[in-house]
Amino acid sequence: MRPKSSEGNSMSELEHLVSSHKSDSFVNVWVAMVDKEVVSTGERLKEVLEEVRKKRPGKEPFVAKLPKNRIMLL
Amino acid sequence: MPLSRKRIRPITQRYLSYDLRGKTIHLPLINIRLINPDTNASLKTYALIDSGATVTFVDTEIAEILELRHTGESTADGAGGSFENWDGLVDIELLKGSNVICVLKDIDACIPKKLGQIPYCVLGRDSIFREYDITFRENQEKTILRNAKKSERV
Repeated sequence: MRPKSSEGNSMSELEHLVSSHKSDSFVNVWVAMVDKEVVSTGERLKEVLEEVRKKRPGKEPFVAKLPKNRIMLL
Repeated sequence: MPLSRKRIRPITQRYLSYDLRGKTIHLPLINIRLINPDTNASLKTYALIDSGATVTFVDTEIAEILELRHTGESTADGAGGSFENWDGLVDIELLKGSNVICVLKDIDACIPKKLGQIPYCVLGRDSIFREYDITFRENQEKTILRNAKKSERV
């Protein structure tokens, strides 16, 4: 069963993250947010999600990784 | 590829903008929920809308978490060189806030075998662009999604 979705606007969560924190501290690391709050960060997504499950059981996190400032051409 | 959608009105999505080491980054991102169609496991994240990508990419770690089933292998060629991928089926919900605006079913996505080949998930021309005609308003930092006009048979 899918965890209960957060009521917040996820893009707002991401915008909230970059506007209220120093973006540099989240570059190239996974960030998991629930209700606009950063619940866990780390280099491995699996560990980040395990921490979210412990701290906010049953909640669906929004996960993001801010890319480095680099020229993108896929 | 069965697709379903819920909205008719154009959808406007603001670019994500953030400052990084003195430079502002602007990216046409959209929130998504990736779902393993075999197990219904899901994860909410975001993806780049990329008209230059012929296929859709799912981040390696996210694919591992969702345990996406591999259906084959492929090689992706980019300006920076080639990299190897697993192919895997995934359902993608496009989100506006917490609302699902469209469900892209059974997308045959590329999953890079090595970490770090792509910085985030990428929605290419085989997924979101089949469902929406997309305008990038770079100066307004907005992406506009309109229901795709389908070709008519003569």
